[in-house]
Amino acid sequence: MTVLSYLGRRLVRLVLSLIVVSIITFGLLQLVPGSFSDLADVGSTALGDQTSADGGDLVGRYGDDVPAWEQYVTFMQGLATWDMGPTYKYPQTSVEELIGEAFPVSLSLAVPATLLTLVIAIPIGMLAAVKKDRLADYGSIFTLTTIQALPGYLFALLLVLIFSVGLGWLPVRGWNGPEYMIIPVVALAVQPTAQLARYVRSSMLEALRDEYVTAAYAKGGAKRTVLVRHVLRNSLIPLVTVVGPIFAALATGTVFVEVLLGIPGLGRLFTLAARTRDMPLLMGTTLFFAAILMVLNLIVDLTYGLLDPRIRHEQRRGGSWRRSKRPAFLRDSQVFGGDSGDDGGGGKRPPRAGAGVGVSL
Amino acid sequence: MSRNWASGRDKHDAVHNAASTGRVGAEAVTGALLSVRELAVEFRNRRGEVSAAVNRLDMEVPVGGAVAIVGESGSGKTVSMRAMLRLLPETAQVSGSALLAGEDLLALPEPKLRAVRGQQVGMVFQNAMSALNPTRTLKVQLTEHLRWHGIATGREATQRAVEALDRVGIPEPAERIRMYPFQLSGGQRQRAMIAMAIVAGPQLLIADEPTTALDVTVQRQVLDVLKQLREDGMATVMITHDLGVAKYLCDEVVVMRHGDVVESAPVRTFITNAQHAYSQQLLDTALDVDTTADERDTSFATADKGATTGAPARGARTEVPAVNVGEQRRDVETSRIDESGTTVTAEGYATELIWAQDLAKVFHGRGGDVHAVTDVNFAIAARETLGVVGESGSGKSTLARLITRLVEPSAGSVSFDGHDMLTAAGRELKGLRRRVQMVFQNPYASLLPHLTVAANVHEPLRVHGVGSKAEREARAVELLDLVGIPRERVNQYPRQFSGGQQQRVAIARALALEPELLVCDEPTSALDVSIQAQVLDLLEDLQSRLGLSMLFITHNLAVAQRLCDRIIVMASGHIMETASTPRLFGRPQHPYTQALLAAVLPIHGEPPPWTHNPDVAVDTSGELVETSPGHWVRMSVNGRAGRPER
Amino acid sequence: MSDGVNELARAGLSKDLAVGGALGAGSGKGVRAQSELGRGWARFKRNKLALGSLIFIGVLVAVAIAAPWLAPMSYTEQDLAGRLLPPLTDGHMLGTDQLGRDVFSRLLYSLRTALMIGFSAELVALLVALIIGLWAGWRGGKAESLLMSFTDVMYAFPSYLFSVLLVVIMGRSVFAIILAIGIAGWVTQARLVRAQVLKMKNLEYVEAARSIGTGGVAITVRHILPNAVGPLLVTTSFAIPGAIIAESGLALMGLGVAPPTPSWGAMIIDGYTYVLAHPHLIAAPLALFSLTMLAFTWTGDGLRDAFDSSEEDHA
Repeated sequence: MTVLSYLGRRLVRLVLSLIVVSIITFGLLQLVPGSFSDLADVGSTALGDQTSADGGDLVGRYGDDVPAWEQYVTFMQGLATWDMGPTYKYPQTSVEELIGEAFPVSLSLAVPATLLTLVIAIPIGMLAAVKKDRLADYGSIFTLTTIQALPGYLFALLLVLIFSVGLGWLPVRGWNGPEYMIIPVVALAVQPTAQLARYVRSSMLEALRDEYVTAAYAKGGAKRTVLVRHVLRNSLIPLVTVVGPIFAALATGTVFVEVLLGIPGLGRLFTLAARTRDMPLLMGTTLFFAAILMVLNLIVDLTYGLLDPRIRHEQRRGGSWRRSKRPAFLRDSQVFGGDSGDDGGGGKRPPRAGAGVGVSL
Repeated sequence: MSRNWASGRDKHDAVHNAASTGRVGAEAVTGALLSVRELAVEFRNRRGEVSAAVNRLDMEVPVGGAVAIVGESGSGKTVSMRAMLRLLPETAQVSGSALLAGEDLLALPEPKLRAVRGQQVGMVFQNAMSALNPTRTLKVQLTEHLRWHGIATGREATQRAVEALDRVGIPEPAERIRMYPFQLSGGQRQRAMIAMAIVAGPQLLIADEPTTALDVTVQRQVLDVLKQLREDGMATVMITHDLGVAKYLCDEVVVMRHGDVVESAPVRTFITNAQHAYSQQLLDTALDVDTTADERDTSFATADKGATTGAPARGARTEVPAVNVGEQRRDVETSRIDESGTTVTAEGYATELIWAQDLAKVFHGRGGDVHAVTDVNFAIAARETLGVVGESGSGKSTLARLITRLVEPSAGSVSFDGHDMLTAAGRELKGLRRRVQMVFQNPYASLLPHLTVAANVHEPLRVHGVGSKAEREARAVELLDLVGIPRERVNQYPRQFSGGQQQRVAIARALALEPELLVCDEPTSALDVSIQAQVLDLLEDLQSRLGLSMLFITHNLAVAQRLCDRIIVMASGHIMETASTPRLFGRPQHPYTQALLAAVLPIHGEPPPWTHNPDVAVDTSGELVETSPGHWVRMSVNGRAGRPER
Repeated sequence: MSDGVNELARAGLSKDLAVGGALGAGSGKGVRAQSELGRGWARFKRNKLALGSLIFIGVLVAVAIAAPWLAPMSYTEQDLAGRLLPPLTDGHMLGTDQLGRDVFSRLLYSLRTALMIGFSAELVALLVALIIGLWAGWRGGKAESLLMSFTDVMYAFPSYLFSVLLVVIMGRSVFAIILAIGIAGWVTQARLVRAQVLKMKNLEYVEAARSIGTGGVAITVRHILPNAVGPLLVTTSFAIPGAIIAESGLALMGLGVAPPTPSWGAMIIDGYTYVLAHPHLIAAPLALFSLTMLAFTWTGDGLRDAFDSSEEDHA
């Protein structure tokens, strides 16, 4: 089996999953008390005359006389052509426009936060592993565990209290320039850093215990050489599986931090949609989130396969390597973080770092 | 305890003498490549407690010589060799000296030590799968230390690596060198690791149980590679628990126990004339396959089981060692297999207890279907022990689980005393389960960890609602007593017992329901040899006392020979050959059976010639043909046993 | 297969390496017979930080239950004249908020909200997860693939999203929020339970139990569950703070428990408007919230070290 046909299969599955997600979301949203027309009535006062001008489109799409399945089909057609139509709250703006504006904002937090995470976490994790059972190890593990317990927005608050309220160096909230990025980026990076550093540590410790490390020493390898050529290399491969979800979680909107700090990203957009029960906007953002997560998962799997010859080999033989080889806890960044365990076989133990609270933003 | 052994007499003193001459002057080292003196290893745990792993090791390896360090698990053999190359974690404290060509490895500065490792001393590990880096190609792993040591780089290094692979008998080395370890077969992997150890041209090879994890036929192949290296002049230290391996490969043997050397001697002297009591015990409990027996020895066939020359553990060591396992079979003539594979006895079908017909199991996995068991027929008579012998992947463990219905078969039927095992459900199945009990390979894993051993033993009684609570508990104590677990320990948890004791508990549990058939799946393979002997004694004793039938699954031919009346040889899920034990060992007809027998390295006598290539799959085509009463052999259509020439 | 061999090899080596330790342990003959849980507890107790955290959680729970008696004032009573008072004025220990309500009293009541929702949501999640996870794990087949495909879909949603959708549907009552968080949480835990069952199902002792004729339900209840208690305790101890975070997050988004019921999230987002002038409005909930999270985490960490004997630090 070639990589291409594997990719094809995965893409088909991705689209199918997306459809399932859309049906579930749409179905759930049908249960929301109050119909579009109720909401439109309430909104009309705020929106003034605009309703009559653009509302026609809304009524045509989501009016009481349009059956639910038709609404769904219309929306999905819109999704496919990236033309999802107006939203309840802002009838003159389309869903895709709002997402198009908000996504770059979230991304501009997610990318630096992920980079910061990598730059800090990997050296700390390595150091802790090499200094296992020494003070540096105990100290860093304790700190990391402690940090990992706190959600990002608590850190944001802490930073605000120190640097905005106390020292007056940084703005409290808003989104008007680079200085507005510092607190959210740092706050967002803290928890993933702790998680990743612990993961690197346990991954390296596991690799250090492997017999091939002893074998490399027995061949006359210097400590540094063996560490780099065998330990580090092998323990960093599974890192892809952590970094992917971390980035996904950050990129799909860091709801709490965005809401708190007033950053007009995807998270805040979603919050807005939820608060106003804006069905098209909720559908749009939800599906966008789902698509990002799925695509990133696919990229992670492909990269992992590329890096680890065992997986690559298995894949050529036609086996499914998505499930078994990935540290399982990474497949869930649910509210209830935690170790979902693997699918009963194969792969290495999920590392201890994963059993902690997931990335809760 | 261990101190007593250390201060043992005779041979140990000889070691001391050698040690003192060694200490007299460095010139005394001439002739000895490696000279280890008073090597001791202690481990310090996090709480600062110190525990000794090796109390004292003295040994000498001449240039081109081969020494085996023999001992059971925990004897300190692996630790001492790793300590010598300073490969132990920092928690280990090593004292003594280890002179390699006059230089003390334990005192060398780090850079010099690194130059010794790999370049002067090569090391072979037990499990190549873990000792080779799974994400690196063989090429990287075979050439990197050539570069580290400045021996060769680039194309030249690759060329040397290819030569090394060729030397250990890996076919198409130039292609295979680009592969990853997991792409090789187990035997090839092990040989690739040997190539990795020798590619830099060391004078000394330390092999740490290099064949323990391998199937017997592969083991023989790998050992032959090591033997060839030896003959080419490479000095070898072989760590093993197998005296047969030690004898096959080495000139000297050093026996370790609890961190002390109890005896060291030339191998052949040792085997015929071991001095130390523990050495005696090792020799006594080690089982040899005896291929001299034949069915013609009817005197043995009818001999009473208890009164045989058999049980070497109890036999006198002064006897001629070449025949150490005598015949101890019940009357094999009374049972044989007819064409449908069932046992026919003098009384017809009357005494047959269980009868499996056309059993098959296919596992549907992600990587495709695995035919674990295919068309297996057999029957076990009352009070009979049927052995199933095969290498890993032969389907023997699946077979045990099919019989006990822990795995549902894909096809076929099992009839137990007239009941259909496979369609039985509910009460009937529960009733049948009571009559068929199982002993598993790993005693600790098979005991319920959260129950005391007594509770483990009366659990089956509780499940089947036998007796009152008090009666059940009394019965459990009784059963534990029967297998030799003292009364005062019955309320302890399984983890507080040693492996051998745990297996006794597991046997007691299996006996609690007074089964008629005991299915044993490799019950001794996780145990040390001396403990294996005790467990086998126990099983044998229980069987004769309780009149059990047994299905005994094992990969160990000697164990099968010791315990079984009849043996099935399996490969790739098929029965290759089946016959009464004396007949099978005396006149094996299928080439695969012959290869299995030839692969076993005897402690006494010479290893048989060896031509089998384990890399070629066993041919399972053809039909089972009865070549003499009760002796069935898989044959291809043209009447030849085994695979056609390729 | 090769994994097994690997394990053996490693066990073999470590057995050899650990010989001293084993001998040492053997000499201490009178090892007291103890159940797994008892052993775990004994190990847990040795970890002072974890034990302290557990006690602290106990205190928190007591305070939350006793909030009506402990709170000096009503948490709803507004005093528009006494708005945004600094701490320690007019008997307001922590001052008042933008509506003149006593911050200390609101803090106590929000602790009540947080713990109630945290524990109940986790209880809901755990119950559902246990039933479905055990069933899927033991039966395999259709039940299992159904669970797996369902969880696959669930994983396509970002963590908080599903709870948010449920709140949007069900409204902002306490009950609705418990359900919203619980339902979003059970999937992960069901997978954990299932994974545990699968792991144990293939252990020899479970096979052994089957071979002596124990039925499926009995095995699950008597043999699998007791040995899964440790891991379950550990996840639960991490899941409860997760649920508390979810609750405060929902409140932060304006989707938490309907006002005037206090919640840390609501206190934080409301107080944030005044953060420059009146930082005490967020400092107090931030401090209590963080302490609560830490207590749960350290407890969970202690539990994990106590129950997960295969962890790296025991090597």
